[in-house]
Amino acid sequence: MPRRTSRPAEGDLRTVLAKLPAGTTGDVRVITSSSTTIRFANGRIHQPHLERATHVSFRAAEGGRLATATGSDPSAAGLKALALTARSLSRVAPVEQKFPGFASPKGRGPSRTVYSKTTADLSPEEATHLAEELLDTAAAEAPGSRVAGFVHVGHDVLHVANSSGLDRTTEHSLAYANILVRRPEHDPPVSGWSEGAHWDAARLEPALLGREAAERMARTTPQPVEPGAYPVVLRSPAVADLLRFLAHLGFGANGEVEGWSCLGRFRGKKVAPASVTLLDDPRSAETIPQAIDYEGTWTARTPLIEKGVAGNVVTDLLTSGRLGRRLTGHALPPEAPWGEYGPTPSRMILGKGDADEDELVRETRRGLLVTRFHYVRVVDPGRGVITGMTRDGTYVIENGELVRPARNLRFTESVLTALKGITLLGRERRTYFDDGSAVTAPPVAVRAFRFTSATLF
Amino acid sequence: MKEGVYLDMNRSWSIDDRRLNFQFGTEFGRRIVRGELGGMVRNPIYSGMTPAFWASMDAVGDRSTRHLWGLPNCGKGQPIQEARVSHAAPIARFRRVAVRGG
Repeated sequence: MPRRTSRPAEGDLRTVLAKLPAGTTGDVRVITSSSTTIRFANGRIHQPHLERATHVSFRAAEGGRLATATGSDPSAAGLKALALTARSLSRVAPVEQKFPGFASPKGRGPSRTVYSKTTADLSPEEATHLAEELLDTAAAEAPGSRVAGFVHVGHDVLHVANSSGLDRTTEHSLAYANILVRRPEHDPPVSGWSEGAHWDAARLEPALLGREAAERMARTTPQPVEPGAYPVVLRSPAVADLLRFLAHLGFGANGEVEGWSCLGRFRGKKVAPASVTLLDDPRSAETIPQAIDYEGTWTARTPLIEKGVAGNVVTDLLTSGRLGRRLTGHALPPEAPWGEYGPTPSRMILGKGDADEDELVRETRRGLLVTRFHYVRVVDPGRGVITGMTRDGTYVIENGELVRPARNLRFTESVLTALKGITLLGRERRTYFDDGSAVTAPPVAVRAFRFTSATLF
Repeated sequence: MKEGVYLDMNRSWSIDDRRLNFQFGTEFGRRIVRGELGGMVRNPIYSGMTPAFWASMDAVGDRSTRHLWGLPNCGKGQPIQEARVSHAAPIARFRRVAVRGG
């Protein structure tokens, strides 16, 4: 089997753009991707999957009206057909008075972002070996358990061009995995979880993830805990979930444009202790790097919270025009169905502290340790209130020690309250990847976190 | 109904991984006072445990209240796989459900 995708014959994007009639401008994206996903359940690989795909999107602007057509044919004929459709659709689109035009090609690009050719070239067989390592470790550490999860390894080439003369191409590599170890025969059942992501598959550490998941599974029967506000130690997967919602509700441009952002009133004000610094840094090797956004703008390090003080939202071309703010290079593909929040930080890195996980627990007199959250959803966007369940390793802390596993609880809490209540940050960070977004975070301790109900397991 | 809350159109939904504990928020809510709709309530949320919730249902609307609801991207699997889903449902009445403002 050939290891690497040969890219399909691509028409000359600039030629198609140059042939747009007077008064029409546009940009075009060609994304060529190749990935292997190895899913496993009940201790065995059950769904190995290779996917090669080409996605093309053409956005046309006529008289301030913007429309996009998408397809999978990057040839000259395919591009021309998409351009024609996008132009036709633009006639029914509203006029965007503040659209500043397509991205400028001017300015020297920043330094290259890191990329792993070895990861891009990884064969499905080699991806399978990573999954087997996860499975073997979990089986050795927790014999008799049921094990499920996946390994995903892939790469993509993003090519963006526009009628202003911009023409940029970058490559990304990605490897990520998660693992769930369960004893369903226990009453109630017990489970443990781990996950991680890296741009270099060689640094995914499947054996570590498998061992962690097994270690996090309770050895004794989880006991019920009364709902209420508790000090919590959040392991980094739980922190990553909270930060993703903070990004949507507080740093997404649409919330600012439409007036419902939970941080709208707090820009330039203190929203967290001075120990908290949160960046969106797509150029860092500590995330899954992304050199340009989907409009071709160079990405850049963007401070979101600096020493506890809230910064501004991130923008794409349209929202930078609407808000009159700097373009930060956070455009999604214009056809993205998840565009409700608009451009959103998607390569966040939370500054680390100097405590290890044991110290975070030791500093907690009475509270809960949460491994991760499940099914988190927005309750009240303007106040940043979200809800979700704990899952796969929740423990009661008493006098600085984990004393027993807890049955799972539902939290209903504002991300702003959680942020403000951070008392300690861990020193070990890990990167998590989900649905196009990477978060690199340490575990944290939070003074009070509100749990509103409980479940039976 | 002497006293209660009329809730319409879910906008937030979260359930545990065994589908027991749930919490839903709705777009719209009004008080019910002595069998009549009263003032609107702000950001209503209802929650409970699935078996007890369904056991508390004591009235179901007729055919005229039934609608087919659908969603194009119900998330399943990891990494995410999406499925189109739909359910037809009439209006229904439930007793002793925990409702509060978000």
